[in-house]
This record gives sequence, C-alpha cells and structure tokens, in this order.
Amino acid sequence: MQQYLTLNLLQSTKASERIGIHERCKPQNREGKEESSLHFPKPTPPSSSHYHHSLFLPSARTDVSRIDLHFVAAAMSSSSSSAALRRLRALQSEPGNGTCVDCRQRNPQWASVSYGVFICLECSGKHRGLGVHLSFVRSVTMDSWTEPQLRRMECGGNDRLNAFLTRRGVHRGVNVTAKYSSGAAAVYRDRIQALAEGRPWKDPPVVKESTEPSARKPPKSPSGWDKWDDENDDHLCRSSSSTASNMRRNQSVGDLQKGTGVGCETSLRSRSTEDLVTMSQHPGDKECFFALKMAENKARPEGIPPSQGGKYVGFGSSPTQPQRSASSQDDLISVVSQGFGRLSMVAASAAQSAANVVQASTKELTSKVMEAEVNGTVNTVATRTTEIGHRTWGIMKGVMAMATQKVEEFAKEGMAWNEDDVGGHQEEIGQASKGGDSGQDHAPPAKPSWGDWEEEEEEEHGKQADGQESWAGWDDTDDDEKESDGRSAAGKRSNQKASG
Amino acid sequence: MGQAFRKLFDSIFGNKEMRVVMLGLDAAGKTTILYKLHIGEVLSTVPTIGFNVEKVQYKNVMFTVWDVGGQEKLRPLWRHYFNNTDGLIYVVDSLDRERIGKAKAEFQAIINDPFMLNSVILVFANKQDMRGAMTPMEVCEGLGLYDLRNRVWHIQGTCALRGDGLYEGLDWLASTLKELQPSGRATSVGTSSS
Repeated sequence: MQQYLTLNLLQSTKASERIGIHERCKPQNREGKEESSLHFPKPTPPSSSHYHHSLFLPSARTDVSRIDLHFVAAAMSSSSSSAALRRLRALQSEPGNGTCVDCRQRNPQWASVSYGVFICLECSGKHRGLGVHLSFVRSVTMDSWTEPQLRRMECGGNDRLNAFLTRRGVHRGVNVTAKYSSGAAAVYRDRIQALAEGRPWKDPPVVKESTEPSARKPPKSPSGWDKWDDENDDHLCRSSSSTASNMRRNQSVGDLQKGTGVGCETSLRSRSTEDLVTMSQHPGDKECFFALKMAENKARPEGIPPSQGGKYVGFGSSPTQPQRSASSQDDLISVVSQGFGRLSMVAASAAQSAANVVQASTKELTSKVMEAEVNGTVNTVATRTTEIGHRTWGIMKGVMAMATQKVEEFAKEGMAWNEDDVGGHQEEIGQASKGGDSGQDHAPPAKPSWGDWEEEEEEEHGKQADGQESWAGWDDTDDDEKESDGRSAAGKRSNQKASG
Repeated sequence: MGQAFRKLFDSIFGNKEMRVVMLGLDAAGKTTILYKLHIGEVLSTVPTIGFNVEKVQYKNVMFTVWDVGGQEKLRPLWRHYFNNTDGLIYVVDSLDRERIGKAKAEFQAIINDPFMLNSVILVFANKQDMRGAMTPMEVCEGLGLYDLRNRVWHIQGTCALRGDGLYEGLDWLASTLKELQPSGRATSVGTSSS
C-alpha cells in the first residue's frame, strides 16, 4: 500500500512539475492544483502497526480506572489503528452520522473531535480555520487516533450536536463560525469532554442565543487590499477572544455563509478562481501589500504579543548584522539600477528623437534641393546635419557606456562587500581588479566617441576652410564620399553600441 | 536598447531560484501561507491531500514552494520531497499547545534526514494574532531550536490570514541563500544525490 501511494505521489509530482513550468506564462493553475491535490488517492490505513501513541490528554494518561473495555481491546489488538478504524466505521454507520453535520453532504470522512461529529472535506477546511480551541479536526482515514479522541467520538454524534444547539437557539442554517463560537457550542464541548473522561455531566440551564443568520451582522466580504485598515486592526486588538476569532474567520468563511446549505462548493470554487485571476493580473498589488505589511510591522512595539498590537518578531541562529547590511546593500543597488534604467530610457529616447529630427530636416532639405536645383551646397548641408545627428548619438553612447561602467563597478563592489571572510577579501580584490578590467573594456567605446567628436570637429574646421576656398567647386562625387564616410562612422558607432 | 540594458542587469543582479518545502502538522496553515504568498489572497482551503506547489517571486529570488499535506498518514511521504531542497519552511500552529511535542518530534525527524542536513530552516510560528498563542520564543523552545548545532535557522511570528511576518521570513530566506551560495557552502543546489 505504501509503495502504491509513493508511486502515485511521484506520478503526481511529475504532473505538478509540469504545472510549475507552465506557471510562468499561465499563472492561474488553480485547477491544476486542485487536480493534484484532490485526485490524490486517499490512502487506506496500512495493516502494519502505525499507531502513534500521542496521549496528549493528561486525564486519560493518568487515570487508569477510566480505561474501558474498548481501550483494552484496542491495546491488545496487534493492529491498533485498524481497530480504531473499525470503531470509527461503526460510528459512521450510526443514524445521523452518514451526512455532514453542517452541510448534509453524504458520507463524511472527516471528524471534529471537539464535538464528536463527522464532517465533509469542505466543512473540515472551515473547522480547521476556527482554531484548535474551537474545533479539532481529524481525518477518519489519514490520521491516527488516540483512545481519548475515539471516546469523544463515541460520546458525540451529529444528530446530538444539532439537537443540542437547536434547543439553545443556534440553528442549522447559521454559518460555521457563528455556530461553533457560540456559547452553546462551548457548553457542548465541555459536555463531550466530561462524558469522554467518565465524569458526571449535567447540562446547564438552557439559554437561548440569538444566532439567527439575520440577527448577526453579516461579515464584510473583502475584495481589495485595503480591507485590513487600521480601524479593523484596532477592533481586532481590543475585541474579546471569540470576537477576534470571528474577525479572523470572516476573511475565509464570510463568502461561504450563503452557501452553507447546498452548493457551497461551487460558490467557493468560482470565487477562488476569480480571485486568482484578478490577483494574477496585478502582481504589483501583492508587492505593495507586503511592503506595507513589513512597514507596519516595523512600527509595532516589541515585547507585546501581536494579538495585543505588538510586533511579529523573528530571530534566528545567525547574527542579524551582516544580513541587515547585505539587504540594505541590495536595496541600494536595486535603487541605483532602477535609476539607471530610467536614465538609459531617457537617453535612448532623446537620441532617437534627435535622429528623427535630423532625418526629417534632411528630407525636407532634399526636397527643397530638387526644387531649387542647387544640389551641391544643400547636399553638403544635409550631410553635415546627418553627421551632427550621428555625433549626438555618439555622445549619448559615450555617456551611457560610462554610466554602465560605473554601475557595474558599483555592483561588483557591492557583491564584494557581502563577503565577510578572508576568502571574501581575496575575492573582493579579484572582483575589484575585474571591475577595473571591465572598466577598461568599456572605456574605449566611451573615449573614442569623445575623441571622434574632437577629431571630427577639427576635420570639419578643415573642411570649412576648404569650403571657404572653393565652396562652389564641390561636386557630387565629393558628396558621395562624405556620405560614405558618415556611414562608416555610423557603422563604427553601431559596433560600439553592440560591444557596450 | 532597453532590452540590452535589461540583459546587462539580469546578468549583474541575476535571478536566483530556490526550492523550498513547506511542512508542518495538519491545520498549521501551510496552504494558506502558500496562497497568501502566491497571490496575496486568503483562499478557503480544505485539508491538503497530496500537495500544492507554486512559484513565489520575492525580490530577485524565485521560490518554488512545495506544500505537502500534514495528516499523520501523509507524513511518511514528506521525505520524498527532501531531495534537492534548499530550504525548509516549518509551520507551527502557535495556538496548539497540546501538539507542540508532536510538532517537535516531526521537526527533528525532518531536519535530521540525510537529505535535509544542508537546508536552511525557517520556522513560521503561525496564528500569532490569536489570544493565548505561544510566542515565537516558546515555539522555539518547544521545537528545540536552541539545541541545534551547525544549522542555519530562523523563527518568525506570522499571521497568514493578514499576511504579517511572511515577507520578513522570505527576506531572511533570500538573504541567507545569497550568503550561502557564493561562499561555497553546499546547499542542495547542484549537489546531485539521487
């Protein structure tokens, strides 16, 4: 059985890995997750003894006289877990236990030990959300059962709980949170515990509670990130324990309130999927939300439990000082990189627009040339303009190459700082020299562009001098030559761009 | 142009991947944490029969988080997820004082597994918003974290429903990963042991 399970697990692991791979392009794999989660074969208990003796109820451990025949039988049996399962199966076949205590779904395979009732998978999720102080959930087949837990189940029963709660004004239609955080439910928990431990129990006088669905304030269904506002926080901090747990569960259970009878499953599914799709469209929201959360948490006072407005503290084995510096370093680097990304965008767009302007003016001039038939002079002007455009581009290139170099050096330094052992220092030196190398790699593309600028400036002066000598003497071939010069210069720059 | 620079930055501040397995007793809040981290939303979960796996991006680290069901009969299957795992997130229900001993036993079994000796340990003391919850210090003592030798661990108080403390934990995981991987400490990444 164990092998069969493992095999299935591995198969589903592979399937899920596929899901994981596809996830980047298609994040809403909730369905896939459901498949892998829910279609996993429910294991039946192995026949070998796999019984965890976790007797965590001290009363049962100490008082031997309370151990009944069942327990003796279970203890004597070679396979205690199968004995436990037999007892649970017998309980499940009792009238009333064949349907979920909350939603009447048939054949429930989960149980709330606190009340001795059987519940379905969906409702077990809600029960688990209540907290162990309100409902302690076990699986009939996937958990091992202790004797006190089994005794509680035997003292309980779905019909008994519902009848008890109805007598006290907690009606069946009420949502799970209200139902199990009511006073009547607390009384019933005590009752089950007392009976299971063999103590005498007398029900306290019936007190009608107003837990009608209409009488209770409907919980707000949260739809955005702003749902946890300060007001909410204050309320949570000051409210009593039961209210706090109500608040706590509104989030998850609130939407199910309308669906506690039938069709809760469909409403739940559709909503979760909807949320998933909405959220995956705005990944930035999540970052903002958690950034806010971290900032909030930093502002909270230490030494007070979070239930009273204190800080969610954390500590660990390694000293926190290097981590702090490392993370602040990262932040700095990321800020710089972001800033530089913006700079590069701006520079690129500026260069582009400059080139566009130049091209436009060139075209304009060319058309004028056709009209005026003074080809030579104007063509020269056009060529010059193009050159200027290219030069502008070259300047931009130079600036950006230098900036890249700086940032890279900075990043390398930052990485080197993270090392704090001796090897790290050596690495630091190595990286620093590497940074220098890379700087040299990047320096040539930067400097020649400036150099080009100067050279071309001189060249231009020279040509202007030429032009003054024989301005009208320039013919078409000369122009062509110059254009090809310009093109080769541009080609050189594009090479620089690729290398940069 | 922009793409060229993006490539440049990717090479400098390159994204890292980290495989994390999230374990803990049943009803500790593992699945709730996973989906809170993944989509930022609290889903109404049902007991996990099998596992869930999602990718969670935190800064430049891509966490692949495996959330395995915590029912007792599923716990023997946990070890199948141990191989090639960089980090363990162990989730504890801070309200469940009765089962902290059980949580310790399972925790010690995990971290002493040969495949898990190199993985870093992050403990989430969950449900801290509840009155009467054990403090992270109590959970720390309950799990026997102080007795660990040569292990990198961190404990963080959290409330999965409200998202408190979760990113503090991921922050620690991410920075620890960065510290350990370049310094040559053998994490499970790259160590191929079948």
